[in-house]
Amino acid sequence: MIQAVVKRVKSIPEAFEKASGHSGPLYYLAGGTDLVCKAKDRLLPPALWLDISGIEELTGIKDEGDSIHIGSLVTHTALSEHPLIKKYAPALSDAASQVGSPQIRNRGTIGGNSGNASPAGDCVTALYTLDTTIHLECPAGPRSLPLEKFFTGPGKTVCKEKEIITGFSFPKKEGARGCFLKLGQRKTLAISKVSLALSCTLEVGRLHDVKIALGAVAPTVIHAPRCEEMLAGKELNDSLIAESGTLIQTESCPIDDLRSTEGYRCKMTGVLMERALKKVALWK
Amino acid sequence: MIERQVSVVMSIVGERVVRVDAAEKATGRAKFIDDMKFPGMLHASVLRSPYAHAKILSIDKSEAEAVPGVYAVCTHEDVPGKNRHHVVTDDQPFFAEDVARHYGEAIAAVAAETRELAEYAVTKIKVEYEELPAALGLENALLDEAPYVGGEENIFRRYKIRKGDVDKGFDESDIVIEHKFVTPYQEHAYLETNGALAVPGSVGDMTVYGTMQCPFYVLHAVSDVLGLPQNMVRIIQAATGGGFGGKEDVPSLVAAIAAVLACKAGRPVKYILSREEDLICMSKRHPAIVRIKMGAKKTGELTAIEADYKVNAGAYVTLSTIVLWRGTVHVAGPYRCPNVKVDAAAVATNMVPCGAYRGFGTPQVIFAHESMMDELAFRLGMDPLEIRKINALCVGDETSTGQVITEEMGMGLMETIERASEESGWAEKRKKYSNQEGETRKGIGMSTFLYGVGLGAGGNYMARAGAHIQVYDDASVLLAVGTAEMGQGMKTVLSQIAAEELGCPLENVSIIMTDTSHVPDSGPTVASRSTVVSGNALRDAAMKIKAGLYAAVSKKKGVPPEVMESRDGAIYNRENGKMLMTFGEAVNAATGTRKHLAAQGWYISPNTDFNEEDGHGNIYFTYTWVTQVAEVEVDMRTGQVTVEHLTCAHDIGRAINPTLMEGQIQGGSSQGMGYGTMEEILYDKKGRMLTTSLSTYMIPTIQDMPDVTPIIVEHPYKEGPYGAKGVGETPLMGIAPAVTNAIRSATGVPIREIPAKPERVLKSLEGEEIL
Repeated sequence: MIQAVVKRVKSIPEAFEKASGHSGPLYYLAGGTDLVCKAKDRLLPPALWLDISGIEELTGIKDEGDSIHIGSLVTHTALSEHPLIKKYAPALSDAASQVGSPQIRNRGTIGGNSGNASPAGDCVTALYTLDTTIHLECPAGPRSLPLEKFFTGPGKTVCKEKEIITGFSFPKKEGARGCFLKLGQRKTLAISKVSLALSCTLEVGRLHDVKIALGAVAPTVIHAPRCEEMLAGKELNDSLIAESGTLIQTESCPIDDLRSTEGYRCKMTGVLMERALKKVALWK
Repeated sequence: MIERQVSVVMSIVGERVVRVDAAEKATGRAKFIDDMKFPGMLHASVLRSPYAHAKILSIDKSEAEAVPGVYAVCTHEDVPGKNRHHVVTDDQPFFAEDVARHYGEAIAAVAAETRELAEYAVTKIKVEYEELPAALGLENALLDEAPYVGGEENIFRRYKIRKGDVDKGFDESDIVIEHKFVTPYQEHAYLETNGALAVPGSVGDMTVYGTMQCPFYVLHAVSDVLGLPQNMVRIIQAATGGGFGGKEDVPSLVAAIAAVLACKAGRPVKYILSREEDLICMSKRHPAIVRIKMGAKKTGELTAIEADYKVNAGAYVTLSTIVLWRGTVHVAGPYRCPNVKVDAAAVATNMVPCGAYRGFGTPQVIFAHESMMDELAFRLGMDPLEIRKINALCVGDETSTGQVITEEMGMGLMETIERASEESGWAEKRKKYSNQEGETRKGIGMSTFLYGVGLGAGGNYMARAGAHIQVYDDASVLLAVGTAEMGQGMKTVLSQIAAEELGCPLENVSIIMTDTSHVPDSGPTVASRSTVVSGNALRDAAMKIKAGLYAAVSKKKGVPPEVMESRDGAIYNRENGKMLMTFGEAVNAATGTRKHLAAQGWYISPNTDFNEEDGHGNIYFTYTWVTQVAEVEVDMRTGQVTVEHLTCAHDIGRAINPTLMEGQIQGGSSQGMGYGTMEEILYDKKGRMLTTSLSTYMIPTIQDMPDVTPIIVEHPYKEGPYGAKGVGETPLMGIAPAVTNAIRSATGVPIREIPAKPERVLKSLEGEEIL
């Protein structure tokens, strides 16, 4: 049984008001696709759950001129279908379309996916390639930081007590290309064994703004800086693709676990790198 | 003896009627045990061993008993009857006594007002253990230094077959090949976990509702554990959300715990396992190692088969000896071979006791023999289809146990091979896939096998079934049978058989959930036997009822009963085709003349036998013959295998309901694909299961499931109802080798260990010799 008192809140101030009167464990409930499962598996202490899913200001995808803002309650389904995301963050819409199952994508949110801080989080991996800023708010006030600074380990973040993830923003780049590739234990409803997101632009055959992130091969999602640097400004051709596939295998530190092995994961980062580059080369 | 009539015109049998339980299941009205409530009902939770092997030094339940709302805390000391689960032997306790022999073995149980309270109270039971070295894994348990678990030097049972002279056979061969094959655990992953609800009666009796395949097994277990005579125990099957063998023997363990608690508390007790608990301690398919040596002529004819088959039985015998026996007698496949030598052993380990799972010890050996047939074809430069045709058993041939295959058994092996290969486009695809380049490659592979229907010589004494039919005066008909509906469609198929035999409209017929107080012990619902045995028992009862109806009609119409026949909802004069009375009018006439329109039917399967010394015998009364063709695409760089299409031809004698038959084929194929490509149970070094949820134990989703083309082949079995054999298990059984043979066709690389997960396939592609 889930041991939780669930209270629904309509605004951030209301959330903080309810939270301030509470000592002991507190969780914010959005889509519930991670929280409910963890509670059912008794991985959480009895707690107060503040249901933030009705807070209007945390919803929606907005064009803010130079950047795109994504509210933390935006679902994977919405991300995968939204024209702004498709245009400016194809890796993210790609990743969102591959999360879990239709049911999970309909309920699960990007804020929750980040707060859960799984090193295998599909949307997080894609967000890493977008120069994403994460926006947070606690009773003392809001703050923003680069997404990479948010995660500190599996399930661990710099989130302060009672802090809410309010949204994400990333700069718009015209001509953005990108994709997200994952290998799972089956075709759907599978946590990534290894995943790779790539975002870039391509001008007269040359790669620019190359950002690569790897999921499930380190304690957090990681960048592949050597590959990013190596590819920058280069002409996208077969030999470059092959070179990147070799180089990226030096950039992760995977482990053996129930889903796969260290050796397989490492090798697959190379295969996914090559395939991602081939995909952006054939961009339509 | 049942009147044999295979060629009559039928109006209900063979029709694609809608499942009789479709509406209740689809609307949620079907009552599963979790839907049932009784006044004062308590909920159970069970304390299970955290060690794979440990001495139990003491159990202190006082603190748990003191928790308010707790009504009973039970250990082996609270068992009023025998603390032994009888399956084949009596080695498994319902509650561990001095020693816990596997991780997850039941130690103690609590009944409390709520499930949460029971779960809490369980944590208050204090057990002192002394951890012992554990035998983990089949090969480890056979090492000299392995700790003793059970049986004779950790072997519970051996079987053998000696036919002809294998040494001579190998001498006469042009080629001899030998390989080792490894197969994994498989979890049933039924939608509904195991569970039972025990309700004490007013005269010391006990009624148990539960999700189960074998109500009579549960009857015996509850009677044993409570020390009650069997007439004081009543088992009523609740709607059952899948079984696949996983609800054959273990529901007895669950029901016994619920019954002991209910007995002590004096209140109804519901015990439903969580998914995690169910995964950890309920039965699984046996992991196995099969070594096969085959000799053949250049032309492909087999000259000798020698096999060694070992299964990891787990900590207790349970069904392992019979599982092993079935594997032993199937290890040579559906092939003609004069010289066969098989040695088989069930190995005791400190792991979860394995039991029945769709195929019962046979998918393991099919994986081995079908991989070997492809190896042989490859080495001889032959088409895998040809080598199977050359060796396929025909009418008049002997199986490895010396059983002669007769036309009367229904023999459609060759037709399954031909139709599956034609339908799948075998010849042209093989040609097309023979020379491929690139990162993804396609392949096509096949498997062919036989499967003994019914319990066979391994369970001859249980090979009988009862049925009860009662006709009411409004011409409605109630059926009761002793086998169980678990989602496979038995109620529908048996309703069709009864309606056909009685000649009444199908709408008149309804069938109750299996209840041990209504029908005598009919054996288990396993071994693809229900259609044949309960179908025949119903026909027996129907014929008794028809005798009453015909006598009444005869009296009114002056036509002798001998010329009457029942069909299409009426009774006809067979000689002139004239309708004499509708079924309803006949019932009216019969009740008006005080005819007995209720009857018990009884069916005894033909005798089967098995000689322990040489493994010879007529071991099954009939066989189902199957050929399965898999088409795959292999990603050469990731090792990922996509099963794109399965073509499955089953000779099942007669499809009583083709839609249900196709459903069985589609569902079973999916389970077979999971077995072959992704399903795996992992343990840590201490023998604790790690894959304890369905997010870590992977089964295929609808997205993974390939298109399936089912092909129904009908070579009627003379003794089967309307010619029917059985289909419950075979759809799963040959998919794994069909898939791995297809991987070989795509890549040139054999896969000798399943599941063929990407990590393993990639290693093989990279040339790592794994086995």
